[in-house]
Amino acid sequence: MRNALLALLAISPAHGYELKQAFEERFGAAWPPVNIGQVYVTLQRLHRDGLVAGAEVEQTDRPNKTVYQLTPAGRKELETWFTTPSAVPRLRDDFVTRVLLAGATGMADPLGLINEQRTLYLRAIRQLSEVPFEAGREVLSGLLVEGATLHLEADLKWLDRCEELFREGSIE
Amino acid sequence: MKIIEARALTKQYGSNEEPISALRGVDFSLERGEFVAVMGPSGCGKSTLLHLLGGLDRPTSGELFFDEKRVDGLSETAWAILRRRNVGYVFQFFNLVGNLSAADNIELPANVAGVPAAEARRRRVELMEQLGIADRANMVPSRLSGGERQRVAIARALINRPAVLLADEPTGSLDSVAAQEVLALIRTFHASGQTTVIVTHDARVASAADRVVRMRDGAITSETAMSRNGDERSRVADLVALEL
Repeated sequence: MRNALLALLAISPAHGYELKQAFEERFGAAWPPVNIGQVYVTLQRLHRDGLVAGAEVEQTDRPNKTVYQLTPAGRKELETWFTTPSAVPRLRDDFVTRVLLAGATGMADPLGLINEQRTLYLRAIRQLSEVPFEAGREVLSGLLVEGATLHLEADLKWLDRCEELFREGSIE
Repeated sequence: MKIIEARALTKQYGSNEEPISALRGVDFSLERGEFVAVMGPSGCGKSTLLHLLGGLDRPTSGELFFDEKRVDGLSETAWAILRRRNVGYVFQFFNLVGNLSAADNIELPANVAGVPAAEARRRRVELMEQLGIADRANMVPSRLSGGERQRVAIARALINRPAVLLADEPTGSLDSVAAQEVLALIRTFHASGQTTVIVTHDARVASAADRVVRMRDGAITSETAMSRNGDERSRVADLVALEL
């Protein structure tokens, strides 16, 4: 949320509620609805860290609102964010540790665990293939669903490899 | 009601001295209207099973019932008739006749089955429209894309309104866009009642089935009903779970 808010402020100065709206307009298909409280807390932290500056704007019939804009330090922070590649995705370690310890503890069958995980992934692919796209958000929705599906396909291939190694006794 | 039931099917290839077992006792049944996907590593026997279910090959032992009639001992001629009327087969590499137009390829099984020409044409035109290839009728297969060829092959498989559609890696030689189009069409036919068995490596194809059967070393190792999780989240945002 932090970097996304900074980036939205790089587009134009805004107050908290405008940021929430801008955020949902851009990412409504991708993120659950934004909590306005979280927006204000994040803005306060960015302000504390000198990355944004706030200016009070008087309103006649409501309390004053604060319009935020990016500071030079904020812009520098954002430049670093854009130029640093995102981390490589890593294996979900809960399943890996469970399957490796299942046989060793004698408490579960690794092949059974693999099968259950496989079923879960197949059902997730099914669910992704059936999820409706909101009108006007088809392109971003399609892109995200495709990404999630490709990840699941890779995970399924990896489960096949796991099963081979357990069956041939290379791991126990 | 079961349309196909197999009991303890085995299939051996090679000599009696050194037989190679492709199937080691498979029990399998298929309900009318069901869509089953068969998965498993290469050489697990999944294509052999499909061939036996569709009468393209005979089991070494075991029993096979089609529409509750025992069929494993049928003669070649009787099988040819059964296949023509009841089984539509789709192959990975299309197996279209190269010097016939798409329309003639599709109508061929209807002609062989003695369907009147006008009726065959009517069904063919309807199928080509459903499959989105109506404008390809006069083209020979070499002028069609892979996805179009597979759609012609699906139309050919369905022209005699078979009780079961059997498909062996139907998306296996297609690019991902064509594969998804073919899958969408298979889902549509299944939704309108077509009983379907698909052998596949493709998780997206398998995920569309009612039931997924996994094979290994000539035997079925697991079966999974694909009914819903009870998890009814239906927003992209919840399913892809991006992190902020």
